[in-house]
Amino acid sequence: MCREFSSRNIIIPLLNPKISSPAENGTQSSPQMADCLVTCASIVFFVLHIGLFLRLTAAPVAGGRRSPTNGTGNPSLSTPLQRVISVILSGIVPKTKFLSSALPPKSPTMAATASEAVVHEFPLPAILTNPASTPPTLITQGAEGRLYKTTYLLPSIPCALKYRPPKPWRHPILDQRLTRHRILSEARILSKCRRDGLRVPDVYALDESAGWLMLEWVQGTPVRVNINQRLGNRTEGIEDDEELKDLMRRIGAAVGKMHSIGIIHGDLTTSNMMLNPPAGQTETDNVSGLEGEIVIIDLGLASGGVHDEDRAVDLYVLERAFGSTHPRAECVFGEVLDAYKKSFKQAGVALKKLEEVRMRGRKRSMLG
Amino acid sequence: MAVETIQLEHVPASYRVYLALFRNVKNAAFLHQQLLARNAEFEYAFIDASTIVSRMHLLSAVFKAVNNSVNGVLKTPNVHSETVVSLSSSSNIADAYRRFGVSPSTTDLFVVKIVFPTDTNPEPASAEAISKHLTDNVEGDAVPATDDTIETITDVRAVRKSYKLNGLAWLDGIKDELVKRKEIERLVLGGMALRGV
Repeated sequence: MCREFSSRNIIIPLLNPKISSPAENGTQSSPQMADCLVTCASIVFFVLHIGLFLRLTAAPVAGGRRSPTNGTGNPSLSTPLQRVISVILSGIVPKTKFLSSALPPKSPTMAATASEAVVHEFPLPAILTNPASTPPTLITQGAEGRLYKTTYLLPSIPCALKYRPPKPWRHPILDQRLTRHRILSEARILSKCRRDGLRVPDVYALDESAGWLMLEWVQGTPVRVNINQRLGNRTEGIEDDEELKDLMRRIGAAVGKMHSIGIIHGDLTTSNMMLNPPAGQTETDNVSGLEGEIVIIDLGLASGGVHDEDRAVDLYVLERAFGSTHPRAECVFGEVLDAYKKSFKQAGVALKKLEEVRMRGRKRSMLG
Repeated sequence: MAVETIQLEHVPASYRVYLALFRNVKNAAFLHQQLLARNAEFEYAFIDASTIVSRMHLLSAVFKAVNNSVNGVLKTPNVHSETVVSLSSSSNIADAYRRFGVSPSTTDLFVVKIVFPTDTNPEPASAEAISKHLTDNVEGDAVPATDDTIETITDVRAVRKSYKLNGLAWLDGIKDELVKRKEIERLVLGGMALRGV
């Protein structure tokens, strides 16, 4: 499943959930930080002062906030001012590594930051600490959560567990609400897609207060891998590759189906589509082949919507992502749009809109 | 007859799950009465087997109930009633009992017993004790709960109604009965997972 979680900032989605662009996928730096870089330098001195101030006067604040298992609230953050300082620090200090050399090395805040930076072992979510036939494996880590491969009910049923850990830098109540909301919205959208006959992973179980979502394990590889395997080192004859064009048509049909039932994916890339090999074929057989069913995954950024504008932006994101992941195969992308056009009634209008979006970029307003 | 002991993934080791399937049950009314009277000796999840599509379906409900019990967020009096309610796709508890629980007209019956040590009862009942109690009190033929057996018992029409799966054109369009059944199972699991959320 979601081989690459969408890298997303924590705070920005509150204002606008679609602000991150596909180009930012896979990077650890959040868009907010990118925006902040300019102001960062001027803030550094401010932070330095605040940090020193805290260390001298309010050490428990920094110490309490740093506790890695602190998900239940922070009684020491009593005044709004302290909370604000804490939020500023947590947002900026871990990302600005040069601070650690600027500050005295014995500072408790900085020491904790340094040790967190080198720790790669994540604590397992509570549900995975219970006995199971095979130990869970961490598949990938995104900005907001982690994806484990584990088993559901019986050792023979593999499943994907999407876990959104509590974020110690957020206020516990806000954190709980955001996590809950995101898990439920993803589960609802998956369920709706399933009912309307679009092939997406099944929802097996969820626990929104514990922050996990158990999904069907989709066999196969991300479409990105299949396309890259297919292309290999070739530079010629790509536009005449009938099998590749057929795959493109299936992608277009799947995206069209999704839009026709009123779902906007929000992060369409070839990594967020799996190619599920036909039954009876093992995973290794299919790596070079292109046959199989398209399964759209990672609907963590998805939303309901029937506006042509949203659909066009979705297509635009796919187009741009496709162009940067498979530059040589850009010539066959037209097949996606052709198949999309045939897949539902309003597709033509959405494609018209796509031309408009291409002219101006995906953001209509020039804000954010 | 022996009850089947089931080891579920990601369930604390202190929890034990026992499962039995009875066909041609003659005293469903009696069992129903015991539940209504809240007879503590009959603390089982009695489930009408015609509402179950597969073992996975039933075990999903067990898993949900156990998970709620571990987290201490049961919505019903105990883990057994929670199992029955977990089967439902709506949050109406009485409706879930009616649809999925035992009724006087039930002929095929799933019995699930979930035991774990508690403060008042540190030594939970053993498989033999449960087996004996069920043999003594359920008048029916115990059969192994395999997917093949379950398939012959399922009332697909009732299942589709309970999980609001009617009117899905793509589902009706599937010709292969086996594939169709699998799809129904998947939709049922999704419906259960999203109950009341």
